[in-house]
Amino acid sequence: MSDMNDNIARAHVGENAELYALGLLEARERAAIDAHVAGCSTCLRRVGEAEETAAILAQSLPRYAVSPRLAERLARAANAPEQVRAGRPVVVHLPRRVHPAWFAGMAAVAAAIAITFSGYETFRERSSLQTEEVALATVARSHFFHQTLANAAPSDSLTAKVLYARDGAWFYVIVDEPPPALHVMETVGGVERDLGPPLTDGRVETLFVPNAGHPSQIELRSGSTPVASARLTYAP
Amino acid sequence: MEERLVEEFIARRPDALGRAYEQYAPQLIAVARHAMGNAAAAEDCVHDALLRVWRTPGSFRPERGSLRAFLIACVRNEAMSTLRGSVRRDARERRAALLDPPEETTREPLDFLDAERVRAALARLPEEQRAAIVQAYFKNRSQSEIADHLGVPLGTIKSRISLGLRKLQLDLGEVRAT
Ligand SMILES: [Zn+2]
Repeated sequence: MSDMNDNIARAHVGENAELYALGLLEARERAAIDAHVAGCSTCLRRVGEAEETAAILAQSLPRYAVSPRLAERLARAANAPEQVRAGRPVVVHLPRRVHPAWFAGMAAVAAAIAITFSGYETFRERSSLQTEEVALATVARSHFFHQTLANAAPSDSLTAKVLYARDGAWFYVIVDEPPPALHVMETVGGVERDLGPPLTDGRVETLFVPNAGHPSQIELRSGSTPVASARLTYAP
Repeated sequence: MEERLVEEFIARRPDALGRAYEQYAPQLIAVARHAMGNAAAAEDCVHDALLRVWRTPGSFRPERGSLRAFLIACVRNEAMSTLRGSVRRDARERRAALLDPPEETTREPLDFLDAERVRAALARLPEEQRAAIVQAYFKNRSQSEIADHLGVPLGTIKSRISLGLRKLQLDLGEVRAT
């Protein structure tokens, strides 16, 4: 078959197809399979068949009431205005060695950007290298404000920070030890939008929105529960 | 109708995401709820999984199979990732999860007929494969937890699960054809 060159053949999905369908693989292993099946119709079919079987297993799970609220949330997210979709959130994971500086003062933040920006090697293995370069270049070149997000409850101890462009053109959220099911909400022109979940991978989670449209508030939610927020001010 | 929804989903027509959810909601919610345990977490899980798919153009192709089975697998993976993540984050939760496995429920299944056929097909599997699949799918255990629990190497567990699911596929395949 033409789509089975040596490189692909070495990494055929094999029994991981069934493990994938049952939810037993780590995000990294799933990403490798996604990349492989994009170019290998044999493995695509095997994964697909395993998923069909898993879907039959699912028919024996207990039935629960379906929430109409979720349909609304999804419709809203999918129908976000064009400028938001054009600038849909780009997740940027920083190398762990840099992250403590993000929580220090301005000078340290600028230094961290410089270190990160010159230390490309750390990013080489990541598929979204270009995106990260663009994101970091944008931040490094800009004048920006920064603010620590206030926890919603006094008992919370989430550490999160937002860096944002003075002209409101982009913002960058950094969360240390993110809670589960984290979402970033932005308020632009009085309208709140769910920017969705960043990928969860490691201790620090960051989200970069390249054309933000001057948000007035950024809020983090764990599921539907607000956990931290910041009002963004743009005074000169 | 399903065909049209699939076309529109692939074309990323804005309302196709909400409609796909409405079409498959009972299954998606059941899969998420089975792993996450409570309604709010299950909803968030379905939301996150579907948005992730939506924001990755080209992630679904019809050659793969049905959109329904694909989305169910996406939700299952989202749920299991969250479960593993929270388990890693907090060792206490891990102990709690092991002490307190998902309760046996008296709720009715999504589909009585399919549930009975799944039960029968599982019963026809060799015991070691059946046990591995039950632990993985119905008890939401990770591969290494199953290996520990059953006292066999990780590689053996992978093979048993893979082999077992492919046998179920042959057995249950005829069910879908009718
Ligand atoms: Zn292959």
